[in-house]
Amino acid sequence: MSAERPLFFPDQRGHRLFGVYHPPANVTGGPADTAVICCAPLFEEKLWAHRVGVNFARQAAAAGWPVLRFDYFGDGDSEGLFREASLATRASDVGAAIAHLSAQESMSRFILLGLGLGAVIALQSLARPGVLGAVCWQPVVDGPRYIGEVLRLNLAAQMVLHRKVVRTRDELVEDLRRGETVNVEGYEITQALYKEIAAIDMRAFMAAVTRPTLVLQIAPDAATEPAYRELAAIEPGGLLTFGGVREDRFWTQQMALYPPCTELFSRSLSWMSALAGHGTGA
Amino acid sequence: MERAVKFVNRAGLEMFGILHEPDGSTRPAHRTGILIPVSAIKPRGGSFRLHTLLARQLARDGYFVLCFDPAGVGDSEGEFEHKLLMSHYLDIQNGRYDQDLSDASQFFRAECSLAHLLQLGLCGGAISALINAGRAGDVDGLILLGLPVFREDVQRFGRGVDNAAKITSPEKALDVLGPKLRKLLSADFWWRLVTLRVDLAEEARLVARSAGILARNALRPRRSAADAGRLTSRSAPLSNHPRYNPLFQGALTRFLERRGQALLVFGALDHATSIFRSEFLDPAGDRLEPYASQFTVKVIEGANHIFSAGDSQAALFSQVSAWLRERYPA
Repeated sequence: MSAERPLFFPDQRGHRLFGVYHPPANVTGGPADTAVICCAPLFEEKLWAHRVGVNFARQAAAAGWPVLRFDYFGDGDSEGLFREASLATRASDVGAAIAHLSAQESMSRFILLGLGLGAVIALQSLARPGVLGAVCWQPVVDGPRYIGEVLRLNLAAQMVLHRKVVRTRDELVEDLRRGETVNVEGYEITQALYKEIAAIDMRAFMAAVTRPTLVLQIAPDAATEPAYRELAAIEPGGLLTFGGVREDRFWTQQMALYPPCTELFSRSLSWMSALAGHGTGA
Repeated sequence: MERAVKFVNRAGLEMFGILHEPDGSTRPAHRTGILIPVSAIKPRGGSFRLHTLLARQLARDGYFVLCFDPAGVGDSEGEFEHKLLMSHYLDIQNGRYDQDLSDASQFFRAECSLAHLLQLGLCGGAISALINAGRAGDVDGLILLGLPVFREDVQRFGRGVDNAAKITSPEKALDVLGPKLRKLLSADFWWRLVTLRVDLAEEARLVARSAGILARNALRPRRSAADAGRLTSRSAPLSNHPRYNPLFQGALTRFLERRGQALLVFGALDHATSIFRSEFLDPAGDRLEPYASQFTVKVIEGANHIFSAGDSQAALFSQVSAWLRERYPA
């Protein structure tokens, strides 16, 4: 049997959260005193990206990093329903993951690694005690635009069902404001989640970071997206590092499956090793 | 109660799953387990956690449920070569997950001392379960959601989706032709046509295919006496469509010949539904009659391929629960 340990741990309200702990390989001088906590994205992005997250965790563990991947309350194999969770509950779940690793694995130093909305959740948790920094893979930069694109999927579903749009995007937003949920590919979006995502302004986040943060734009070509160019111009006291890696957009449905993500993994591991004071580590 | 489980498949790779166990005691003779494989490439919980939510309900109803990741998927060991997604879909339709399903079945039976073993799958999970149940003799029941009877057409890669090939029934053909005829009365259509914003080649393919299906149906000879009799695993394929999966019909008939019980649930909005009807159910006709007590087909109105709408899920869960209560009371 492999050393990977599936486990359940409690969130701050006592719900069972599911996770997989990857213990570090015994690497001389390795970074075994600093755990990596993976913050998953939401919606179907979580599922498309799952295996890349598994592959990263296995590679990091082989390089000597302890890694915890886990499902937020309302996601994956954790308790709760999607509509009962918000970005705030998910950020709180990161705190529960830290508490679990502190209590069960005697860890005191953490690096948070997130993709998409998971990167936002990681940044929201950056100030927690023991967190050294964060690695943000393709963070959501413009919340209103992102949630607008999510709601557009509901319109596409209406076209299939009714052959026309019977509730426009503005009407869906009105439904949310009235406290109804909107179904997007099976996920019931609530007013609370909508408002939290719509309020994301990554520029403000970046200007306020208090700990070292690596932001990687992931795109199949080398061009930097305008939104990321703006982020790269922000300079909060030398704490931010920006970069771009050429990889498929593995968190959405792609023509091919499981890109090896060699550049993404090595850039992330190198930066983490420098942050934790353990050489290149990649 | 849910717990994580691991077992090793015949290739020596560690497989991963979540086992949902019913609360309270269960009668040994009624211990029924439902094994849920992945649909294709997404982890064991399925799109929007459909498998997980269904598993939780079934555990509340008194059933053991194991959602598991085959090799290379989710949290299990194993690798895939970097390949086209549609090639992987084709691999699944050719039985890619068959051996892992057998290994999972064996583990599940032993782990929970099951009296009955069922498999439940959606789309690729449905064809995987059916192929396995047709080959292995230890599956008592099947719950197949959105079962595809066609295989991927990998030859078409790079040439877009072949929408015309999805038109296989007169109902679907009328469904396509009706709106197109109505469009002829629309000024907007003609404006789009003269400004070259209509894909004439695609429109022509869809109209020609629909007209061909209607003509074929009108000219099709009525069933002859030679067609009578039970459909068996030795019967000729009921469809001559080039994408008809040769494994599908044999697996289903072998399973039914062994007195297996099958519930098939489709969404009314799913292409797979009309294809299943036109390529299998309608041509089989009375030849399925001997299996009538074993074989149930349900179509949920307003549901798509993955049952993503809330009311579709509720209807699906209700159908599955009712069928299980009747056939395999917990």
